Amino acid sequence: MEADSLPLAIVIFTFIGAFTMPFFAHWQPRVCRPMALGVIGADIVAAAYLLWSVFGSPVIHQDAGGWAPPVGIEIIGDPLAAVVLLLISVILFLVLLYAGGAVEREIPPERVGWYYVLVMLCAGGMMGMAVSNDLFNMYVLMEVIGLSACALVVARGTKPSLTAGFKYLMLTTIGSGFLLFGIGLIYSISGHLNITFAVAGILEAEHSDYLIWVVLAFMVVGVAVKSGVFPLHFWLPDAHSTAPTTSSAILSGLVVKMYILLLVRLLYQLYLGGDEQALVLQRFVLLIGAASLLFGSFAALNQLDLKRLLAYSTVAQLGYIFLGLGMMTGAGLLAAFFHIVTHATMKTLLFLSAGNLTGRVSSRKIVDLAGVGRQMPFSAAAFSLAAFSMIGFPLTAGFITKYLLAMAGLEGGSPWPLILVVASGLLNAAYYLPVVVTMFFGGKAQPVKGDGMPLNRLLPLGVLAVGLIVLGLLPVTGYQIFEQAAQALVP
Amino acid sequence: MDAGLLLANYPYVFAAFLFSLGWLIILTQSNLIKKVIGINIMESGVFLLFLAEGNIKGARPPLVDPDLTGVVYANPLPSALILTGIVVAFSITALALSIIIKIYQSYGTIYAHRLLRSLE
Repeated sequence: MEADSLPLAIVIFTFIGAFTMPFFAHWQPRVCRPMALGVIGADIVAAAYLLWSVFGSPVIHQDAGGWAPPVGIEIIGDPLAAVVLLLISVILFLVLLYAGGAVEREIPPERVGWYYVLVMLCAGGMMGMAVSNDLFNMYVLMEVIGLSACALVVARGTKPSLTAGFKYLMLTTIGSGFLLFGIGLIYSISGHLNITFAVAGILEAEHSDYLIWVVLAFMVVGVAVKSGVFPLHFWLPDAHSTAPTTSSAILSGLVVKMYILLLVRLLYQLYLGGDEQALVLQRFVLLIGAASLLFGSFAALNQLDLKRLLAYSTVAQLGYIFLGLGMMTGAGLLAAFFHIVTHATMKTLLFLSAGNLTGRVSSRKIVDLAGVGRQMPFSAAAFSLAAFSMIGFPLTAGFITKYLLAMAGLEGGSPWPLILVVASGLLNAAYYLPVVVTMFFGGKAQPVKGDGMPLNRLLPLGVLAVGLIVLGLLPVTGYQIFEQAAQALVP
Repeated sequence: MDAGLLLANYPYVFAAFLFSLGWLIILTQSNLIKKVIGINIMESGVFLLFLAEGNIKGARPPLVDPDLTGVVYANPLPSALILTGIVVAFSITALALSIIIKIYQSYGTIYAHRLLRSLE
């Protein structure tokens, strides 16, 4: 079988799944989850095959509908796209596995079928973002993600989730307004929407130095609002903490990072076009990365609500990705890609295990979790492993990110990434360790054997925990995949 | 900057004005319905930008007639893109309004400052 048509096929297949599900959601809501699992499961196989075939071989270029670029929409299957496709499908599969029994506790029963439709729509949008090389196509997919993600937040229908969802919708719309305005400017400058052609057009244009400035300013602000980086993060903690557990895992683990892919594809091509002005923007990206890292951690320090703590931690972790991007070197990009995968694994594990723990005590307050670690040893252990990875404990994936980022900084002759990474590790320890200690050593709860949870709500935690350790040991092949993904963008 | 240049490109200036007005309304207005109106104004600014790009002065509509030669046609692509954009703006408005209805049912108000007070 040829892998050449796979990138588009995966996206179309997921959307077909999403659009046939409403029939079942209305008449046979029970069928929806197995169906979603089947579609995403097939995506895992296809994405793994795609990764295997693009690894070490040239990038796949595909013309949607047979129209060659710059007229048609170009689909690219580079290692980055393959890694992100695999990441999305594996994480979603585990979240969907966990969802059985968990979603019913938080969402009114008549909406459960529709909830899976939204998850699938969001999945299709994210997968499309990974493979698209067309600006307007990316905009439409971003709106698909944005609208379905917003509906995932309000799905619960509780009072706080409604206001959080509305806030999210407003800000994500402002963000996409900025992006669309930037896309309009790119189109008027270069006459193309295909990223490769648009970049060439901008670099050739008259006054391209300050045109790039204006365009990238719109793009960076748009992406920063949509992915929730400091100082534009204020919707994120509300939206991610009031959403149902499974939605929080999808939103925090995957959705916020998809917008960064647009920035990666656009920024690097412009920068490598040899443009001096991009340097100023690079400093700006580094600055928001560092600010986000520090602010997110400090804000997480004084949270009493476990899910809010995790949401602020997402703001901080996005800072790592922006730091890596802002370095504009192959090594920095490698660290950023690695952290996209690592953070998705860690944050999904944290939110899912937190869902188990908070479900037991029926409270999201950290104080109320005292002693729950002795009653649910497995979930609490999984939570602790992810927390240690956040801190950057050796042998976990978090350590590798911090190492890669610090080394990338030192290579570029700057000690700041190293200092920031160490500071952030200490801050992470300051807010994650008290939670772990409270869970295991606080309270008076008697130890019990087993978690008292169905297997489908424990198995995903186990798989993610093993994934963290495997990423932390970083096999050579794994490293080469990321290296190749970075090299495809920064030769 | 030459004022004549700005005047000659008035659709772009107006597009930027509408865009900024739109997001200012979203951020400053307390009434949630007004925020939704702000979204629509902002998106209109973006649509105007695209449409202004596609228009060429004195150009014919893009219905290609093989008998005519040397005719300039307007660019149809931005209009096609904006059709998609309008659909997106419509769905955002629909979702936002349905959330506002839910918010009104559970809080009894659609003013952001009162919502904030009742959350505390």
